[in-house]
Amino acid sequence: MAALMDEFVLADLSSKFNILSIERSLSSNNILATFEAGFINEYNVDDQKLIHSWPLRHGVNVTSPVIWCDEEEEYICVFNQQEIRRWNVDDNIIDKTKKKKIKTDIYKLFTTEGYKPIVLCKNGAAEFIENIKSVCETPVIGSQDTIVYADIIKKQNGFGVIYLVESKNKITLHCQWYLDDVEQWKHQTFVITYQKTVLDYCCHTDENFNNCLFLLGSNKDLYRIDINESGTEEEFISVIHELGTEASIVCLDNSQIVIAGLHKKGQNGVGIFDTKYCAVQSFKPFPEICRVVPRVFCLNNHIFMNCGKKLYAFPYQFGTSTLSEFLGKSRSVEDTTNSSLHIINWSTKVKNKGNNTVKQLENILNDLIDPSKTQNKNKFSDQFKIFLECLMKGDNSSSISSLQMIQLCQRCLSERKFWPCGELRQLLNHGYISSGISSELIEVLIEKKENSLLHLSLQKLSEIPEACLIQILQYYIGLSDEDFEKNLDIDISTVIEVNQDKCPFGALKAHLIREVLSQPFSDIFLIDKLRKLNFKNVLSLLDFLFYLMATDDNQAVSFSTRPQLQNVIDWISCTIDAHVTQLILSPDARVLLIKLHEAVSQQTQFYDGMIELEALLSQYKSKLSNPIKPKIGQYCIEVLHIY
Amino acid sequence: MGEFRVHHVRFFEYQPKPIHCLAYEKNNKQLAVSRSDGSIEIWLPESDWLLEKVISGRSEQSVEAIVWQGKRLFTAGLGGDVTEHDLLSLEPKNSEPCNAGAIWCLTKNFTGTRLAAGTEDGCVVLFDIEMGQLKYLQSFGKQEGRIISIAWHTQEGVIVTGGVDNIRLWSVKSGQAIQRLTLGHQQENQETIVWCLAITSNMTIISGDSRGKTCFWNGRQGTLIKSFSSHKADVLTLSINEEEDCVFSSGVDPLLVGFEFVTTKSGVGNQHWVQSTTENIHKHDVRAVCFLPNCIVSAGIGTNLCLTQRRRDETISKRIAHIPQNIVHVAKEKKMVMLRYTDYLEVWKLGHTNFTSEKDGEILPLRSNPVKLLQLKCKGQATILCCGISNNGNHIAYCDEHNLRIYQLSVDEENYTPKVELTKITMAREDLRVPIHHLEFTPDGRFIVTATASGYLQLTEINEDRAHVANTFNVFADGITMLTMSPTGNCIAVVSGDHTISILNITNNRIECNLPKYDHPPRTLRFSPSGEDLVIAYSNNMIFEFDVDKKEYTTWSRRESRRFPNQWFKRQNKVCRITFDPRNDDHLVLQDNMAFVIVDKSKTMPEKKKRIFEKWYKPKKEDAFHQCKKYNFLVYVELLEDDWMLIVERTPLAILNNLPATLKQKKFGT
Repeated sequence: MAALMDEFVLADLSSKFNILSIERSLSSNNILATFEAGFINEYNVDDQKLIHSWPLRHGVNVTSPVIWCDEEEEYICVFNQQEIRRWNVDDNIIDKTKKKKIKTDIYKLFTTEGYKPIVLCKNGAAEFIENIKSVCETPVIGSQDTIVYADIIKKQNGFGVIYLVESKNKITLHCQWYLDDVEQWKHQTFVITYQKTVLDYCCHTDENFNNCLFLLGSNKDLYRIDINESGTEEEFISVIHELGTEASIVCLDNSQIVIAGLHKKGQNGVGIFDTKYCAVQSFKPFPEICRVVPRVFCLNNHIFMNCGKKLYAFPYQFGTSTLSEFLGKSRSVEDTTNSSLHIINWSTKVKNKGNNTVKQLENILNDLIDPSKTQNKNKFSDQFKIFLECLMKGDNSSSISSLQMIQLCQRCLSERKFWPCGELRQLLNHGYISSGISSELIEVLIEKKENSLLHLSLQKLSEIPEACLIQILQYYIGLSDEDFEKNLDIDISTVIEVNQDKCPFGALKAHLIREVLSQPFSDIFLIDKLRKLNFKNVLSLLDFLFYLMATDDNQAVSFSTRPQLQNVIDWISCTIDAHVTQLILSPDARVLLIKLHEAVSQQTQFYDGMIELEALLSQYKSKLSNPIKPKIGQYCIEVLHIY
Repeated sequence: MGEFRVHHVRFFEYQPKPIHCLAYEKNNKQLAVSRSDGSIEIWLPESDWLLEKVISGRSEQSVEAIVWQGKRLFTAGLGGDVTEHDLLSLEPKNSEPCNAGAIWCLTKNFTGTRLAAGTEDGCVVLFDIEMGQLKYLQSFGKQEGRIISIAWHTQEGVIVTGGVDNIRLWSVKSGQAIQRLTLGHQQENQETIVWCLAITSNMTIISGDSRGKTCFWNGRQGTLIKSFSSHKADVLTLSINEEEDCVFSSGVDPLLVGFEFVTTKSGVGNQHWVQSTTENIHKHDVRAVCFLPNCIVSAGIGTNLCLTQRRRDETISKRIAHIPQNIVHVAKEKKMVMLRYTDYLEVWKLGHTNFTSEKDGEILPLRSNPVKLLQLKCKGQATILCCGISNNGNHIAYCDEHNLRIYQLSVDEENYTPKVELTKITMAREDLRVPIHHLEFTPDGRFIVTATASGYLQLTEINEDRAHVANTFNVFADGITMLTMSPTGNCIAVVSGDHTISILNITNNRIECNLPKYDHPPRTLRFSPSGEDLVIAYSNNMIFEFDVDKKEYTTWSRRESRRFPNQWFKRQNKVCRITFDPRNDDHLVLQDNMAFVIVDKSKTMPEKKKRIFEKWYKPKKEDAFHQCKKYNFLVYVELLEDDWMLIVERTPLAILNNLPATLKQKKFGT
């Protein structure tokens, strides 16, 4: 698994000019940073030193970043769209260096090992730098089309310049392959089906010359296109829920991409996303508030990123991901009870008053945690009241670590002399119970038959482990309706009416089981835990799930109610998976399974109808969209169909 | 078969010229139109607005007034001469100076024996036009300031002139001013110019002036009867109908305002002029208004003729835009296009692409862009009358008033930027008849067929660097109005002045045959690619196909020509060019100004009453008519080899953008 290490500042950036690109340089320790105007700088990454700086004349804009060409041993870049500049290490003034002007705007320059530099023009023409003048005026793409991304990819006997062209809301992929054996260029065009707004693109070629292009959509989609000479294969990978509004991506390998602009745990940062397991595997918050669009580059085992007014470098360790590493993340953290409890104040402005409050808070908390200091319920309640008041003041809540709160919860749960029901309720209501203690909490609540608190936990806790969900289910199914009514304070108006003839449970019980079914879960873990549910309860649960899916009662389940139809179907699948043998063998389950099959067939028919309807409506939509008149200009060759 | 790859050309910057004067001759049913470049057009309104003749303008010539006298046409302009034009040879026939500076206006007396011109020097000059002559007769006494407008009341022997701040009545007998009508000023120190005048038989003078007022005066007493603030700016033109009960005026404010002479109660004293209709059909200044038997024609800076008709209390307006024929020529073999401007020619090499597409309207990426190979300017300030390019693109030729110029064109396309060489071919001028109005290369490019409007047809042979007249035919006494060359190169079809179509064999110098005469004049004609058939489009949109070998109409034509749907004959824009599909001999492509129609001769004609050119009509593959209305203002449509088509378009917006600004008027919401 690739992992990001601690970052360091490589250079200060000018607020005037945006960074254009970071490219490799002569030495493997060095990088070339190109800005839109002002300077072209070369840095040594190891000691964060500026080695070279070439100033740019006023009015000169660098439109294609500086690249180092090993073959020619020179730097190359493009000024003001059309002027190619080349110079070597000894040249200090760019204005006096070799220049070549072409008549067409250049999109980007590329180098690849063993070849001369390649020029890609904005009209789609690509050629080696020596021959570009002869082809640059022959457009490959239409005058209205614009290139949105371009990169170079390798193949066994040559290389390819790929570029994405946007025209009339349509994206096409163009490949200009250079074939060594015939020394000729070959042009191919592929239409990309992904037509949504794209935040960023990145491209990678592995050692077996497999090329892939990633598209990061603004609707958080990650999309992958495998490119080879015979065609393209498109694949939707995943929705990245952690993605912010603006992001930049770069490839580490075929399955791992670095994304700058993730939003996780309330922080914006940079992370490595694994496309195989569709998860963020390493995350680092931005070192400072990033007010500009983050741009990320990968070079020499470092990730480079502009953040605020500085250029940061994140060294990273490369490695392939395994499933065990991902699953290991969900294991519970080692208990650190032995570590001493200290409330750390990170504030640099030390104030006596503030310090006193924190100190007081620390003392009260220690009293609450220590059973010897708060032996009876009254004392505990008093201290807890003071502690809560203190905690609510100002930003004191940030001074308490989750570990300390876990300890407080553990004290509450393990207390034999009294049952601090009210205190637990307050902790739950204020959200001070972390998910680390949730399994322990639920176990105790079930044991003490605290239906009311259990219901509150379901509402307030964000991540309830699958094992606990099954425990709760087992407990709820086992209870009678009367038990609920006795020991539960719930707003009756929120309870959804049920059809008494069809529903296997009473209204209140059904309502609570719905709450359980609506909780998020992972099916891998759920199947495992569902096996612990006894068979009688499995049948009851399946019966209820069947009721939710098949009943005509529109209040039962729909897209808007909880649980959603999708959840119900997932629960049915998982339950059947977990108890497949017993369900086949048991004669009690036969009728239920037949009924379920019928209900599922009905749903399938319904969705088949929806698919047909969707196709029809999409046709209408395409027909009804306003036609955009193409701009013809002075001359064009167009296709005319008269009949 | 209906799929084409189209060279859509919009780089032809053809600009029609503003119209200055209109004059209608009711006996010959001809409308003379003069434009700002001095050219005069003769239109036939009865023949579906066929443009019969064009007398090309000269740069030094301006036409400020046109007067018909029977079949004679007189013009006068700022040059100070009154000119009579020969409508056969399309050249000036006679010219007489007025000796009083520029002429601003011209009129004739009722009997048609005299012309009166209003001049810059402020005097009225009379010309004698009796017995086919044009002679200076007399000059009246001078007045202060120029005479801008003039009208003649023959019975009373009075000429009315309008100038700066006044209207004067002159006695033709004495040559002296007998009455002076003074106009007020709208603003202090701002003169009032009387731009236009008319006089009725009861001596009511109608004037339009720079205050935007149309005034009705009692000519006998010199009093103002009624004044209408009809316009927001200068009234430049007005016209009165034959019955003298309706007047239309217009000008810088392009509203067309009508006035009617109405009787409120019985009795003579109760008749009044009242403002009646207001038509808003022009956007630019209106320079001329003219009454025709069933409509009013108005025209001006907007370059189009606008017709306004009243039918059942409803006003119908129609615009007649004219794009001259033969201003675009194509060398099919070399894919070169020659564009004719007033005094220069441009030769362009068309672009190229290897791409194809199945999607209608898709613009294909270009392998090569179009290149302007040549711009050839005329010597001096001559005007190009006609031009041509040989099919192989090796020769180009053009003709001005006095010369035929032939050039050899060689284009070296090996280089990225083509190298162009132009060599002049010396023309032996002894036998050449000029001015040439029609010019065609033979398909092999060795000969040029030229025709003068007066009826001379000549064959010019090109031998390397020299050219000479090889043959002359003078068999068309009525002149030649149209000419087309057979693709085989041995026949030409000629339309003479009396609208007879003749097929002439140029190898044996014989007229092979004359086509049967049709009630309407032909608008265009062209030989089929095999040269066996001649397709003719008449002014009423009738299409005939004539078999040249059998000397009779083809079977298809005899069967189908009269069975074209009614809607075809009622189309507002009539066919002005014919071309053929090289992939299918049965396909005729008929072009008008706004659309082109492919007629499939192999398909059955639709019913006579079927409305096949409506917007809602969806044509089927088996239909005989397929219309393309995608292009706005078609200058030229030609089918090249395979699926290639050349369309030269000049959009109305592009023409409009080059016109001068209009009168700024406050509009609601702006």
